[in-house]
Amino acid sequence: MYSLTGVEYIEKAVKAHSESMLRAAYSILKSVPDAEDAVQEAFLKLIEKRPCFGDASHEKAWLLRVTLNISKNMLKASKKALSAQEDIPYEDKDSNVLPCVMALEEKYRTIIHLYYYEDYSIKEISSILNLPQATVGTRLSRGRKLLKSMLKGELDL
Amino acid sequence: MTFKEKYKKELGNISFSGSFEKDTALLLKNAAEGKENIMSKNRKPIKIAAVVAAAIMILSFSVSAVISLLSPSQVAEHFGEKELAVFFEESTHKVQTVTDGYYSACFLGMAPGKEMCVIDGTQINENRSYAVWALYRNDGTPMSILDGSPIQVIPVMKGYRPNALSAFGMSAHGTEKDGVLYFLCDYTDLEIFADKEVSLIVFEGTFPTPKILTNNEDGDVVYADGYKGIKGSFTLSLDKTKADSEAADKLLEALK
Repeated sequence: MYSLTGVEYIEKAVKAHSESMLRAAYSILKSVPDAEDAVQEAFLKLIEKRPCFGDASHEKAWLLRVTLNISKNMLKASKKALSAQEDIPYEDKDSNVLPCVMALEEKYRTIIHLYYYEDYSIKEISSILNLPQATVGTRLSRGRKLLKSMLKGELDL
Repeated sequence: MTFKEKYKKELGNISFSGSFEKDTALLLKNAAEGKENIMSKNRKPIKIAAVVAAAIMILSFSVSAVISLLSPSQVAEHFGEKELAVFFEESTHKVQTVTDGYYSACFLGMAPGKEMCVIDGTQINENRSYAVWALYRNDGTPMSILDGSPIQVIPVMKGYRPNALSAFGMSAHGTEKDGVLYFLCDYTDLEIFADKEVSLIVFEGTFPTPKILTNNEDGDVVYADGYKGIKGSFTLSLDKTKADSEAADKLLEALK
């Protein structure tokens, strides 16, 4: 009679959004197991709070916001300060784009991630992070400057 | 390759557990069952006298059995929202029921609120509107919170797309008592739109997609051709003295 049971909704949400949430959590925590823990906790919040969404993009934005908040709290709690090279098991060891982003302070890294990986606008990022647009714009600009300096102008940002 | 392309490629190369989605879905299913038990344990005892005094008696659509529903105050109390419970006691909104012969959705009340109860558990500093509605099966088959709700209730306004008012964020906390599901919904402040045609519309589905809701030529929010689920809406008795065109226009401007 109805289109989605609670269980079907859970499975659909996990399939639709895990990828984005894991990458977002990883961008803060720099650790695969920690990112997976953070994302699972975010999904647990979803079934606990049972928010209603206007559309699928709102659902994703809500999940990303919760994931980022949980990740930041985990980072504070563990007081980790990993070297950008340490936990990054990617194939192209010669490239330095990811380590450079990971070397940024969390407040710049998060915005760089949402802007360049998720293709969100400044307005959308402002809504997800609950920050004024001006603050998002300033941090994006500062993050770009820092990256340009680290990448020595090799890539267009 | 641009920075964006390199960043996406390198971050995309990070490997997560192959069974992550499967493990997570299982974890959530188990947690949902655990949650049901927790809610049963934490549910506040309701005094019989209070039930008799405050319960709302609704006649079932198909049989003569009487269904006794909790009042919106009781539902708010259940979620620990004591202040909101007081506001609901003063609510003048009419109890209304919509049915498709199988399910019945019953609007129990609405109250304004400020700085309370929110989407991700964080207090926010803005006015909100809170509504309570119940969902039950007409044949008396108990519903379970584990099944989720096949029905949604969202605010709509003539002249605007169906998800306009829910685009500002809304949430619903659900619970179950005696086979009836109750939802305490948190909407954007609807009172500022009191001088416009605002109502709560009921539909079957997860999101108000164009296959479910659309606008007709007059700007009314209507069901799409081909939609076969539950149909109906709840009229709201909003206080027109609280209408605020400036605030309303500012919010609606953000939609563009």
